[in-house]
Amino acid sequence: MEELLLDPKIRIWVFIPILMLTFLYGLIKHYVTLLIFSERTVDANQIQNSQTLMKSRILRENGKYVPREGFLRRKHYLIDDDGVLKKEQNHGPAPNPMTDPSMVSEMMKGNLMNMVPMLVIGGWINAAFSGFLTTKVPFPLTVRFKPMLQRDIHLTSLDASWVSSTSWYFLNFLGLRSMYSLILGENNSADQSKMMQDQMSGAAMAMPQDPQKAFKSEVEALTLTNHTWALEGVEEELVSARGN
Amino acid sequence: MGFEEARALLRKWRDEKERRSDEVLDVWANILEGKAHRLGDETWLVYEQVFIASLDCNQISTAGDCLRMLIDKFGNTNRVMKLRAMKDEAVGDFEGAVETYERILEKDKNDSASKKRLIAIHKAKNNTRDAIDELVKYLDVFSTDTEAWEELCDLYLLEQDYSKAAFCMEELIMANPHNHVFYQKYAEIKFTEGDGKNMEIARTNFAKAVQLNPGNLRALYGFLLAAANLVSSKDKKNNARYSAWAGQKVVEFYSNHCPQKKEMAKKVVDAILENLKLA
Repeated sequence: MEELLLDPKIRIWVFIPILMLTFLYGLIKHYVTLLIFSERTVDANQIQNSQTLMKSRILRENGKYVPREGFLRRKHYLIDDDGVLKKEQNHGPAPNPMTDPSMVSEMMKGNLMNMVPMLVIGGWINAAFSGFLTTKVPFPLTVRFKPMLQRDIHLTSLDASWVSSTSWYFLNFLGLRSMYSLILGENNSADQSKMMQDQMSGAAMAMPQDPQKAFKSEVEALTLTNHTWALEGVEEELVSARGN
Repeated sequence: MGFEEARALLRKWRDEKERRSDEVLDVWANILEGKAHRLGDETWLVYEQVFIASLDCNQISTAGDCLRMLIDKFGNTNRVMKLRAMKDEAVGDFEGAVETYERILEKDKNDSASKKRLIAIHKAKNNTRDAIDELVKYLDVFSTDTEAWEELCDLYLLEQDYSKAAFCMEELIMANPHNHVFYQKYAEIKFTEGDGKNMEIARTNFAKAVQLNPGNLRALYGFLLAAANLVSSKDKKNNARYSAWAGQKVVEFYSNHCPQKKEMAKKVVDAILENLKLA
């Protein structure tokens, strides 16, 4: 790997500006998101559904700590034919994300806030800062990476570790997450990965996109769960334990 | 205690959800009051904490001061409105409080805090039945709210509806399977319900509580009594063994922690075990 000496002006005029740009963009995105996004309102039905699912899951996991009768009573309450889970399952298909108007606007706003500015800025950087090397990644890369990372430089003998400004921009974009948590606190909207996590977790408030499927799998799982009382024989354990 | 220590102490209590109203007011009055502006971001959380503490200790003027600071800063948000309504409750103006909560619920239909406060008002007015009905409706929607299940259990116990109280405790045990207090309370309810299967369940749950926390003397004592009650039924040998063991443990406990009462404890245990021999 040969040592290349880059013009120090590159450092001042390219390296640091891209860093600042990406960082400021993240900050602005956070605050604008706060302004634009409406409070995600959930109605009682959604809450009830998600809580019931959670209840069923707790029953499956920890049902063995209560006596058999309690477990069976709750199990039948949930999965009998007129039980709560079965009822919800038959409620009809989930609102299609494409057609449900409120969800569509949410998705659009989300995409707008995240993708479009990234592409715009990325494109501008590509145009404005092209034709020279910006930095070197500290680990060796294969030749395959060259067209991706050295978009505008046509030197066949150059190591793939030397990258152009576009790739520095992307590196920043993805990597400044921890800086954001330091400065904006845990719950910031500039954090891409959190956004992706949100879509998968289906936490206490939001209902997963496909309630029917969720209920169906809960019903199956619960039907298969049997009850072995975990407290059986605890007196023996207690009385004959070590040193007792 | 210095400023920083006081602030850290309040933060610890906030994080661990410990009420400690007397002590909070002490810390506030003696250390933090004049210097609230130095608290930075925590200022408003501390004001809320002191507000609730002063309501608990019937220091309505302090509460009023804190509330005024919060209103100046935040206006009429849901959270501030709830605090305002809590102050009304503290002075006995239940109608005003109910009105405020219903206004919050108009804005946000599913604000769980307001719903719970409305139930608390029923309880304050001694309308246990109404409180129970509303709480059951609440739990229909928010079925994993542990605090609400605990409250419902206590309300059923007030009504002496032991089987329903036991149901609530089962919910709590499932949500927190390693909390010895829940097992103990469940066992006590089962013990009260009566004999046969319930007493066996009580004995088992007392044993579990002791297993989880060998320092839980109350559960240990419960184990002793439950086993003693079961000696007259089937499984004589095991129950006699259990009660003997438990009796011995109780006396040991007293001699380790409270030797001056050891004789008394020994007498009680001996009396219980004597009864077994006669049974």
